[in-house]
Amino acid sequence: MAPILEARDIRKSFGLLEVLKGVTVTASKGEVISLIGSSGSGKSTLLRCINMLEIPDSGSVALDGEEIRMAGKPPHRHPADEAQLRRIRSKLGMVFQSFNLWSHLSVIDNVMEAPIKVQKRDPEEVREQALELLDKVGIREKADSYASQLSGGQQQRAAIARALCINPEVMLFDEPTSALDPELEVEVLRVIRLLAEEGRTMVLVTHDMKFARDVAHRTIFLHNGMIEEEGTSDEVFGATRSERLKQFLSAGAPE
Amino acid sequence: MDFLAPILSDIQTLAVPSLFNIYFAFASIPVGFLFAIGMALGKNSKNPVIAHLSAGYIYAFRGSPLFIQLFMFYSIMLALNLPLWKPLGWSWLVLHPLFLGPLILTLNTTAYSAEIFYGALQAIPRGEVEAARAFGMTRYQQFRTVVWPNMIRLAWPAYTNEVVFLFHATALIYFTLPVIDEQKDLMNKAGELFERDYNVFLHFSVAALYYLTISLVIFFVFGQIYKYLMRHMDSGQPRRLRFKPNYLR
Repeated sequence: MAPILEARDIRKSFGLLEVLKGVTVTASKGEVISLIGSSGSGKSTLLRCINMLEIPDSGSVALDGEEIRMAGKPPHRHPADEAQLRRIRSKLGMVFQSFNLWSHLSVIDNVMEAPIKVQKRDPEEVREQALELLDKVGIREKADSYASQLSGGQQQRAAIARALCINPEVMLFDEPTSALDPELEVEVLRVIRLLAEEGRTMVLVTHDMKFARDVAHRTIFLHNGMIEEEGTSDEVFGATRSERLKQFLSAGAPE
Repeated sequence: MDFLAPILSDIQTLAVPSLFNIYFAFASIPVGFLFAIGMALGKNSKNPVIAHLSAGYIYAFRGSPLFIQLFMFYSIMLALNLPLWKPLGWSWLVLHPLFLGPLILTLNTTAYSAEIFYGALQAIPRGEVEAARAFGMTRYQQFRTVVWPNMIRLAWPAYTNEVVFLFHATALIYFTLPVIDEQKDLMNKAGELFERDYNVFLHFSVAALYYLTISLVIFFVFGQIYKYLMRHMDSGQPRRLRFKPNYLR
């Protein structure tokens, strides 16, 4: 089956520091992929390259077989066709580590903003879907609250509902629980697990090894901007081959 | 109640002059607001030519006294009268304080307000803009959804200050531009009353009373707007310092 998301040979430098040294990630429909690695390994940058929040220096990104056309050479490389990029971005639901809800809009307006403005959908239909999604993530009663009135876990669930409401083909999660304490983390993980079970295509950057192993079909371990190990989550966690990953996994584990 | 009579009489005398100050402020603040937003975006622009031109304009008007700006513009306009305005038949308008005053105030408040809005632009939460980009918004949609509401909210208290300062600065206009007939503003009229009986305390106090009252209205209106802008923060009320007297311990 042709992959729905293909990021091929992504390279990215910040100044002299080469963060990604040619990384390829592909996801088939319904697949959940987790990206793990130590801080600075480039996993967040890789995720942000997929929707061009960071412009990769080289390499290509394609969604559903449509490649994002690029022009120019680094550091002036840029998407050749902004309209195409916007269209592809509106099929990628992004969830950020720090939620990034639009603070002056209520929760429901946050969820409805992109579908109405970017996708030009009918506001009534969007409202219905938004309320359903808020129900699904368990914060329907907070629909009219503002972000500052919610707990971190509630904010992140609102952000997930916002990303779902554009009916994305792929969900991108950038360390969605890193800013939450363990209690709030649980409610967010529950929602993400639910999405995985629904058969959504997801790319998940995470520090939570147990969760990655549970939820992801495949796990990619990034080290120093390269893929150090890749395989089904059972293989990667159960029969770890690379020394570096063994070290990484044992660091947090009780003896 | 004899002491009230001169006060009431001054209040009456200064009523019409106060309208001139109000006119100067009203004629320059809205236009200056719009220009300032353009100028702030200009200074924030990635295009170096636009950014430098905007920054230069802001520097020039913030860096020199309004008093001098009024004098300079009036002299320039006068110098251009023979070669330009007269042949065009524009002298009556271009040299009239009711036109020239608001024009210079507008140019001045544009610079100050632009710096305020530019500062607010720097403080806009980057993550919110990023989210807007990630959802495929155009630059204009990003502006409408994230940049504009955040910018206005962040700039509002400082902008309120600028508006009140500008209102008070209207007092300078008739110090520099010619007074035509009975068109006099508060300071002008108060000065005239003062020259009759040298009663500083009376006339200038009443003039100040006008400034205080009108400022109060500005504070109130802008405060209400700020409450609205801050509706999404915690309690929906802007946090303010409370005066807590502590007479007994």
